[in-house]
Amino acid sequence: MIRPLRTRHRWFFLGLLLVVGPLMVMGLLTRREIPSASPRAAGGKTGLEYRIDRSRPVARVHVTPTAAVPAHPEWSLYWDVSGETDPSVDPSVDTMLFLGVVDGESSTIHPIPTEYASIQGRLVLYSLTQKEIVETVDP
Amino acid sequence: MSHQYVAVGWNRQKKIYDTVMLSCVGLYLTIFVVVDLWLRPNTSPETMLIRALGSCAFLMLHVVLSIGPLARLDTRFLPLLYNRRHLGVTTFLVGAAHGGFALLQFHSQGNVHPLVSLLTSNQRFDSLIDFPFQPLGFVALSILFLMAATSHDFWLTQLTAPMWKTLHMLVYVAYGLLTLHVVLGVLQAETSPLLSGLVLLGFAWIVGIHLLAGFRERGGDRPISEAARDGYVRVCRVDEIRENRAKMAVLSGEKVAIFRYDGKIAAVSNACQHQNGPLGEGKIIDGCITCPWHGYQYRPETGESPPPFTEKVPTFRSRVIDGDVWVHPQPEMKDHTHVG
Repeated sequence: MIRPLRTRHRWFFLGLLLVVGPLMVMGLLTRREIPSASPRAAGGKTGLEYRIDRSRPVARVHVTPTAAVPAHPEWSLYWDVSGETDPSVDPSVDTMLFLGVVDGESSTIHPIPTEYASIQGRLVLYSLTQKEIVETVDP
Repeated sequence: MSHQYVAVGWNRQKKIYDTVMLSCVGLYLTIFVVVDLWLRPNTSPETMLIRALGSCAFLMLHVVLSIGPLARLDTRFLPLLYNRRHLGVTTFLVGAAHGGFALLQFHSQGNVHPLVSLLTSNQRFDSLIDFPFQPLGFVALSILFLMAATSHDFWLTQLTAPMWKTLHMLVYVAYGLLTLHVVLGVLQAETSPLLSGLVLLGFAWIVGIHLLAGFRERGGDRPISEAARDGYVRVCRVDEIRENRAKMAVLSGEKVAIFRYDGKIAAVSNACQHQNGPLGEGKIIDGCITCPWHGYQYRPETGESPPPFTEKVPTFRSRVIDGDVWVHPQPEMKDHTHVG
């Protein structure tokens, strides 16, 4: 009555050790690198290349990593219609047009709404984590 | 539920136990919030609550899972076992609060049901570090709910102790799932070696003491190999059993507790009828064998609980010849032997 339960208990913990233990260690060892400081604070190098393709009916921004960039799931790309963004004066993106998320690991494409595409604006990369403008680009 | 059952049979020990437990929970949550506010003043109240409640429930589960093996390894921990069920139910409630706040924060703002969002928003089953860790926590919480809901003696009686214990062994599955929930969830973003080290240490502790207690008991689970005489098996010398205490032996596949008291010997099943606690680790108090886990009592001569209680454990025929204790391996209803 009780002995089989105790035997099952021993086998269960051996199983827990052999299955969950290695998964725990692997999960900890293969963690992604989380940047402790913003790229702007580290010198402003994000390793991203921006190109606007206006040859199509809808203009599109191509963002391509040119070097190994740690994952930044919190990076967002904005279109500054005024084209006069100065992060040192105003670090907010409240008045800008949100284009999409840039993860830094793979190439992404972001259409610019037609009514704003002809305006000579400025691309702004914003970090939600750091709550700051990472870089600005005049295409 | 029968009229014989009450929600909680309160007594002084249970009140003290619960007061200490709830004070510790309140103290932990307070310290967590104060330290978190100091270290990360920009943390939102929702995030702080999710982390405080989640870490508290995980810590409490470690305590719950430590009590059983610690009590088997050292009888000084037995008082902690007495009201462990309240600790388990409280662990579920704290975990449920954590899950509720997380559901509210991460899954309630979309256009699908929060539970659907929880179970379907991440489908990266092919990746370890992107694995959907939230459903792991949800399944573990569901198991803890099942255990909390069936923790009452009503369900223990309805299901019978072996079935109830088998069901409650699911807590180990819940622990494994919660460990992965933590490692693949919060520890992917919180890279402090201290936190990772504590979680690894906690896992090593729980697995270590369970295996230690389990393998130590395995030695006592070996059946007696001596040949039977007239159907009786020699178990030990009389003077190896302390007065009002027992010696345990495996006969016919199960443990039997052989008690010595008032110049007599009596053998009963080692499994208490309540939660299958080890009667042989208890002692005779007021003329009754008293279970070390929750104090259930049985008369050594008959195996019956004193009135008005109706529990009964199987008894075994026993006799003493030349100072040796002989026990018949098949249970019988009634017998007791004079030492002489």
